[in-house]
Amino acid sequence: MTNDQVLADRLPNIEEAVFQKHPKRFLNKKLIAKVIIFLPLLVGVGVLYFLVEDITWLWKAALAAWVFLFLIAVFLAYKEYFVRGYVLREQDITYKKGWLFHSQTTVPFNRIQHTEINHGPIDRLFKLCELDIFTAGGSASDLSISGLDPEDAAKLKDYISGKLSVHA
Amino acid sequence: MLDLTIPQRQSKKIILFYLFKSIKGLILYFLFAAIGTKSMGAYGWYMTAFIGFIAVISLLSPVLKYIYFTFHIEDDELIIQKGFLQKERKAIPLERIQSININQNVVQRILGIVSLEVDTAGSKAKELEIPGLERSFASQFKELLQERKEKIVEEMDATSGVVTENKKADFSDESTTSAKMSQVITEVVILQLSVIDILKVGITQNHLKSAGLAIGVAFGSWYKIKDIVEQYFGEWLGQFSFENVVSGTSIGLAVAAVISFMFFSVVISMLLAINKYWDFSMVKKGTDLEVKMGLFNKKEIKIPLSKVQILEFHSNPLRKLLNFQTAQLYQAQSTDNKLGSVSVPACKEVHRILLQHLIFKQPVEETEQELYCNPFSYARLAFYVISAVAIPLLGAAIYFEVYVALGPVVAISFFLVFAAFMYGKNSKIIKDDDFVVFKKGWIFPQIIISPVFKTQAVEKWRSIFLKRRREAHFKLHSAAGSRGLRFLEEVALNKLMNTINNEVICSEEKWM
Repeated sequence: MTNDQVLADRLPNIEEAVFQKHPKRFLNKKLIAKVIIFLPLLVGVGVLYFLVEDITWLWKAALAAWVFLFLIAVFLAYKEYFVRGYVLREQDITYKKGWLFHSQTTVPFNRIQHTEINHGPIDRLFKLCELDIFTAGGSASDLSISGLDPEDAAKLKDYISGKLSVHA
Repeated sequence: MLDLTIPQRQSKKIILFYLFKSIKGLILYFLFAAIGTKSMGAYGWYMTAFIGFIAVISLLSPVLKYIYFTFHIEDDELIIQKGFLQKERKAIPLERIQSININQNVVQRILGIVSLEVDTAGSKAKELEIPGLERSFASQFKELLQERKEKIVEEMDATSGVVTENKKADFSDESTTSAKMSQVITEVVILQLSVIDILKVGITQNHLKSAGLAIGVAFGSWYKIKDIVEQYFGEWLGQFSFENVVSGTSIGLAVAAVISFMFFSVVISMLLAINKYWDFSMVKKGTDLEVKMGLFNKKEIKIPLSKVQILEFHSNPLRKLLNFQTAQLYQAQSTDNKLGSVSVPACKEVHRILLQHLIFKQPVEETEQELYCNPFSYARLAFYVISAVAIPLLGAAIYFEVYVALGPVVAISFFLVFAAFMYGKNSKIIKDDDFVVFKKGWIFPQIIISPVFKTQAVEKWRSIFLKRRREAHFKLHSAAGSRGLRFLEEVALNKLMNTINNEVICSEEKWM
């Protein structure tokens, strides 16, 4: 039997951990979602082209704006995929996301209240799901890890729930 | 003693209370009936019948509400059942109860009833309110809940067996005090405000805030009575068109307006303070803090000392002169920020130390790590934001040749950037053995004290532009919300986050 003393400052730093990437399908889903969001706007540009004949520059400007915004959205979605990732350690879970606005949150298991797996219709199409981790109090410290492989998510959930029962 | 094993109803006076609530809506309906039906001709009768039907229902519903609202204790759970058509049953395990508050608003005061609020802190909103109880019944009920809860918690602690050293100390401490409590309840008055104190608090409030409120109220009520006023005084008011007023005003009038505006905002903040803090007292009762305050809306709040998550001290230049600070106690919150917080005005240095000692038991000791914000980053951000507003303003001023406007715009912009710089300069995070302390702000300084083991998550975030400068923002999430500071050096921040996180992992104290 071993029962070594644990000193807080001897524990490993999060910077040394290797972050897990999401499956490639998640990127595809994000890109297709962007297209789906932007298509109706393109219809709007088409309406301008056919209906407003007096002001010819209007539809051109609208089209340019559409292309510009679409490219930016796609670029951001693409960039974001590569900085998104999670680390599961023995005692805590860390999630980082966002390229333009990057954030990294660490939640120790002994502060987690419960976990949930969600999958919406689009998620199911791509065989993805979302793992929500809830803490007590307000919702500010809740983690929601979207775009996980369902099998991985179930494993993660089991692992975390196992840890929770130790602390409960 | 109360017997709560069978479902109980509230005081019958609650019917009047419910009735009062629905009367507001009723009046609107009757107005509509009186005006609307005239113009509708033959269909008017149907309308009247319909409205009559609604009126009867809203007169009946208070009675139904009263009949179908019951509460009782069963198997260590507080159970509330309500609803006639849509039945609702809420059950709260007694050991989960965070705090029990007694509130009384004006209407309840007239009727002589109080409302009892039971608060649990879960991630999903879960509170109970029993709005109509006799005062004596409510306080007995409160005591009963408290006792039952403590008993259950003690039993659980005793049976669980895995009591850590810290808990043991707490436990023995608590059991001795509760043993004493059963004979004599130890009461220590911590703070009691006299009328003069309350007036002082009122004078030193943030007057800008109450001025804003005054403007809001004035405009709001103006829009309500605008039509009537214009109908009767239209011609007379017509003389006061914008051009007339501008050409007619002298500097004296403007000064008078400013002074009266200031006067009113001071008066309003005084009134607000008196209404809120009248008869303020804070008493330590056993392991709980009991706070009572309020003139029209009376409030009685009970907070277990161990449930206070964050302690904050706020100040402003006027309060600094009087050596006053406002303490803010935050409990775990279930829905919004207001609910779980109690503000204690007029804290002197003595009270400050006393509060800190009572709640956290340890003082803030020597610092282990200190993180300073980068004031230049604050100034830079303020500069970007302000120039986005100021440059178009300046352009407009030059275009319309109103050169007088240039001076104030430039001066205000410079002041705002300087204020942002000073904010950054006076902000830092101090980490000692047991606490994370945020010091924030220049004109309105704040000190935020949060015990490390009550942390739930640590977060760092930044925009892509900060990455290059190796800076990041920090957020500390606890059950009472998030606190944070911006523009910290990334390497030092990483170290801070790692130590906090690891200390939370190692800690086995109860944090909720």
